[in-house]
Amino acid sequence: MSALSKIVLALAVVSLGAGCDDGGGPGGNGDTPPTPDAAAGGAGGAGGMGGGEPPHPDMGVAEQGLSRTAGRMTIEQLARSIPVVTGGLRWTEDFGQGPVDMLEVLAPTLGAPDYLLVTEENLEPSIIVAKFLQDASHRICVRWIAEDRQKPQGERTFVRHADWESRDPADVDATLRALKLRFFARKVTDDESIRPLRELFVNASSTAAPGNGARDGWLAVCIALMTDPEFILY
Amino acid sequence: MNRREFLFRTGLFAGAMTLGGGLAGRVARAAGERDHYFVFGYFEGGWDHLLGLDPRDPQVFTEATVRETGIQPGYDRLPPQYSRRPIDAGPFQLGPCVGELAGLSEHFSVVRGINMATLTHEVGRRYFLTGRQPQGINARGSSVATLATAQLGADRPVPHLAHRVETYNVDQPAFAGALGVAAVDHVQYILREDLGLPTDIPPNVKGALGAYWQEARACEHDHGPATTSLGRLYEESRARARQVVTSNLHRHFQFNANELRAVRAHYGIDGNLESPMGRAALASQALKSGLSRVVSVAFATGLDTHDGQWANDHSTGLEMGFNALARLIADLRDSEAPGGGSMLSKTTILVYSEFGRTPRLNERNGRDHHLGNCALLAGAGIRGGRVVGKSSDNAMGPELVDLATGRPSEQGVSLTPEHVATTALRAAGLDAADLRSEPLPSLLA
Repeated sequence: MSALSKIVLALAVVSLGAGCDDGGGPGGNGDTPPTPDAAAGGAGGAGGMGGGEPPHPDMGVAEQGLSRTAGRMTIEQLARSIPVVTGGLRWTEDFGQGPVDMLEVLAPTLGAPDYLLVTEENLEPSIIVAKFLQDASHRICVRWIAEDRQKPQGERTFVRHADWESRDPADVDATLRALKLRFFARKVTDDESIRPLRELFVNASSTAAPGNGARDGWLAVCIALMTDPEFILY
Repeated sequence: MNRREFLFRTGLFAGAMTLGGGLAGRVARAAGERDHYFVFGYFEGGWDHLLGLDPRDPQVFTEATVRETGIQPGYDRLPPQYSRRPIDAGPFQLGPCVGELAGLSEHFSVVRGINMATLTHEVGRRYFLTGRQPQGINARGSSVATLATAQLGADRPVPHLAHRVETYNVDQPAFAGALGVAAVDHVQYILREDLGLPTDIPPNVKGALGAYWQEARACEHDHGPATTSLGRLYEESRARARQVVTSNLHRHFQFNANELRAVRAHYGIDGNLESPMGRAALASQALKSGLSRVVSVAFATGLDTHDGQWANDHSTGLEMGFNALARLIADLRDSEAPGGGSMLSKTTILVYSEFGRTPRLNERNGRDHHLGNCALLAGAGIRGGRVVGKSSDNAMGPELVDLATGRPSEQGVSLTPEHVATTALRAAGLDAADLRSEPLPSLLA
C-alpha cells in the first residue's frame, strides 16, 4: 500500500467517526444500522418461544467507545429501576379490580420469559418496548411531577435543588444535571450535554397555561429522560 | 466538507455503496411494494398427520397389520364425534380431525412426505420458520415471514405481526422484523396511546416533546449505549411506536365492542380471545384493517401428546386449529381486498408443524415424534385441491418425489421445508433465492 493510500484510508476512518450531521455520532458508522443479532429473536422472545441464541449482552465485539457490547435492560431490571429513579413509583393501572403492575401484565409481550414456552428473554429494543416505555413514562411522570410539586424541598426526588416553580436558567440547569445523574448515572458538567433538555423545558414551559410553566417543563423533561435510549440501554 | 462529500472525493462512497448492495437491493425491492399478504400458521407441538392431512384407511391398515406396516390409524380410539374413517374432501382424503377444513379443499393443497431430518421441537419449528435447516438448535437466517415482509414493503403500520410464534430477522430491514405479542388483546394496547386511558399530558408538552424527538438526537449523545447500533435501533423503534398510536386502527382489535359483533359471530368468539379462533380473528383483522402485510399465528398449541391424552387432547386440539384455519380462509374469501378481488386472492397461507407423530401408537397409547411431516398451502398463487408428495405405506417414511409433477418417483428428491417455503414465496411472486431451493411447480397457480 502506498503512502498516499494509507493517508487516504486514515482520513476516511477519521471522517467516518466524525460529526453527526447525517446520523452517526462519534463511534457510530453513520450507515443504516444493521439489525443486531440480539434482535434476531424478534417475536421469538416477544411472545415467541425462545428464539435462537442471541449473544449475551456482555459478550461479543464492543462498539467504539464502550468496553463491551451495549445491552437492553430486561423487563425485570426495568421494573426495579423505575422505582429507584422515581423514589418508589411503579407503573400501575386500575381497571376496576384494584391496581395492577403493568410491566407484570405486559411482560410476556415485552419479551420476558415465562419459562414454559419462552426460556430466554428477547432483549431487542423493539417497537413494543419503545411503545410501552412511552406509555409508562406518561403515566408515571404525571404522578411523579404532581407529587413532587407538593412536597417540601427536602423530600423531593425530581426538583431537589431549587424552588419548585423556579424557571431561572441556573436553577433549571442544576436540576437537569441532577436528573441526568439520577436517570443515567452520568455526571455532566458541560453545557452541551444539557442543552437539548433545557430547550425542551423552555419550549414546554413557555407554552403552558398560566401557573403551570414549571410543571409542564419538568413533565416534558421527565418523559424525555425515561424514554431516552440511555435509560433502557446500558 | 462533510463526511459524504469526503467519501465522494476519495472514491470510498462508491465502495461503500457496493458493499451495501445487498441491503440497497432489498430496500429497492421494498420500494416496489406489492399488494399481497401472508399468513404463516403454526400447529405447536408436532401434529398427528394421520388425524389431519395424511390419513390412512383403517380397514387397510388394521390392528392385525401393524407389525407389518408400522401404521396404526387409531381412529377407533378417538372420541365418538369423530369419524372412524378418513373424510372425503373431494380431490383428496383427510383425517377425521380436520373439521370444517374438509369443505374448503378447493382453496388449499397438501404437501405430504416431508423429510424433517429431526425429532427435536426447536429444530423442526425453526426449520419451517426459516426454510433452512438450523445449526444445532439455532435458527439459520431470517424467518420466511420476515423475508416476505421485507419484499412486500413497509406500507403498513406494523408490517409483520406475530402472536406467540418466534420470528427471526438477521439480515433484513428493521421494519420486516415481527412485532410480537403474547396476547390477542395486547394489540389494541399497542395501538392506543396510554393504553386508551385518559391522557394527562397537555398538548403543549406533547408538542414540545415532538420537536425534541425530531431533532438529530445523535448530536446529543456523545458517548454510551445510545450511540451504538442498538441505540439507533431503539430510536427507530420509538419513532415507529409514535406512528402506530396515530394510526387509529385500535378499533379493529377491540373484539368485545359492538362494532366487531360480526367478527365475533364468524369466529364463534365467546369472550376467550386466547383461543385458536381468537388468533384466527386477530390474523384476519390485522390483514383486513390494513395493520399488517404478514401475520404469524399459532392456530393450535399443546399438540405434543406422547401419552394416553393423545386420543382426546390431540384430536380436539387439532380440530380446533383446523376449524380456526377454515374460518380464516372463509373470512378472507368473503372479504373484499382494497383495490378489488377477495382478500384470499391476495393472501398466501402456509400452515406447518415442527414434525409429524409416529404412525404407530406407543406403549402409553400416545404418539412420539416422527421424521415425516406434511404442510398446507392455500390462497393466492396456490392451486387448490392438490396433493404433492407421499408418505410410504410402510411407517409413513417420506418418499422421493419428482418436483415437476409432485408425484412419487424413484429418481426424485426428498421433500423438505425448503421446498414448501420456496413455493410459498414464489406463489406471491417474491424472490426466494435466499433459500437456495426449488418450488413445487405443480402447486403454483
